[in-house]
Amino acid sequence: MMRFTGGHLTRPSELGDRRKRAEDEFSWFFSAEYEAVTRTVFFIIHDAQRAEDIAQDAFMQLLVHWKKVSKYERPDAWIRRVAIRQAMRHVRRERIRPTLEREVVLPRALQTADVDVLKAVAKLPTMQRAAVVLFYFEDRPMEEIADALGCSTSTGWVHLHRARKRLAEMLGEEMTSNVD
Amino acid sequence: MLIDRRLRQAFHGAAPAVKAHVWNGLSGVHARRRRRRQIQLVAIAAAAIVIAIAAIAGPDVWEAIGTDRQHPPAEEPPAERSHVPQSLLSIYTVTVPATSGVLLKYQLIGRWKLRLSQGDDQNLRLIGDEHQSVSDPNAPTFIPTFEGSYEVSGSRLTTDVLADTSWCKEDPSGTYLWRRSGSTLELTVLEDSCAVRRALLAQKPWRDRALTSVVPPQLVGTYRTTLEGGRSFVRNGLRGRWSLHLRPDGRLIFEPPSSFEFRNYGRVNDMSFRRVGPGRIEIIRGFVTHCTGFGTYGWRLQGSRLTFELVEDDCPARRIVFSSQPWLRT
Repeated sequence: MMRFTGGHLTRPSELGDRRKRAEDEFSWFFSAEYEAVTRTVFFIIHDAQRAEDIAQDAFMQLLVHWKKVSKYERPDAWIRRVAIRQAMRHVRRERIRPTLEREVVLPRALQTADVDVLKAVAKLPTMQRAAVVLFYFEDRPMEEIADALGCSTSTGWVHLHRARKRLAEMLGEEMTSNVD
Repeated sequence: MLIDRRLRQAFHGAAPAVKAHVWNGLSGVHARRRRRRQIQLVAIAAAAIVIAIAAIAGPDVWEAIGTDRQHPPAEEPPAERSHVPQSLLSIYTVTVPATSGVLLKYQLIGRWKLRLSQGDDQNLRLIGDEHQSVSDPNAPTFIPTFEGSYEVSGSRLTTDVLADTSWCKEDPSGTYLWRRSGSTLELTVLEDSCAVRRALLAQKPWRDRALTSVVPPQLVGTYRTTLEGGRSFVRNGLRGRWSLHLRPDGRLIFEPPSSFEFRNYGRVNDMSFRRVGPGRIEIIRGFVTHCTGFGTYGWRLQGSRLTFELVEDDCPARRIVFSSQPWLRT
């Protein structure tokens, strides 16, 4: 039996091959990006379990839209945009809950890291926090950061500069006018 | 310190401590998608029932409809599975010199094999050469073999090998930093109070036995191919001219096109291979850092034209670069 797909007649075996190829590509992309996305989300929300939830939700959306997104040049930018927006929504929701006025408690495994920095980042407004994580942890260019945050590039730079200034004050570090 | 530097150091230093289990994550994503489909189906069915009832029984029935809706049962969480990088799974050898104090004391000098396996039989095995007792030359020779479990978490490897010996029974497990570099494995002690295990595992260097050069000599050389773009991001990102150097020491070195974007693939790295049959090559690992599994290809050289035919390979990018176009020797 033949099926008509987008102007071409396609045999069922070809459809099966394509589906298998798409699944392979998704699994490959997932194994390449999942850890990095989870870590990025974690640095924004500071909750390891929730970070995995958000990352998995974002990848679930990617799986639903994989046929379309896999044709993009940069599916890694797409997944970050979705995950970061979910993370920011999560932070905003949690902010209005009074229980979250408490001190940030980091997982035990992170206690050897520079906890002061992570705690200071947690005190930043959501957009600034995401900008800092994407810029310093993910090394993403500002165009991509702005895209993920849903703002213009110049607004993205403003978020980053304000975040640096506040962090430098909180941590007692030097700051130059140029971002390094 | 500048704030920029401190931020980078803090994030990159903390990153390895944030665990994300890739295999569990992938199962989680598929489970979520199934749940979402079930919910959608339930919602569609419920809407259809409501519309049908409303059409048959009229508006009075709306009041009788409750709002409780049961969610589909949550799926069992996927079983915890220790993920060991493919690059680590191999058999390594080292020769312990007669100058190694504690190992000499217990007659553990000589050639040792270290085997790291995964799956149902995930274990770390240390196998010595045939040994002869020094104190009793008439005693039969023996091959010392020690087996234990191991787990890998990022760059850390924890094992309880030798825990059932008198040397390590007080300190059943030790933790090491592992690092693969070319064909060698280095284990650096992070925490291990058992002197024998420490001395044996931290021997340098453990050489990957699988990487012994078996490159067919006629294949050695430099090849080029040009890839066209396609419909998927994997193929699109790989377009351009690629060079491939097949070296006599068993390495394949790729040079990507100048337009190659590393983000979707990880860095291009060396690849090692061994011949597994006439005209067949098994890729042990490599190409780009995101390709972690094995791949097998058939190869055929006709004049200056080298073609690879896919036998099996889990890595889509490697499949495309290897086998979608012939390579021409330069």
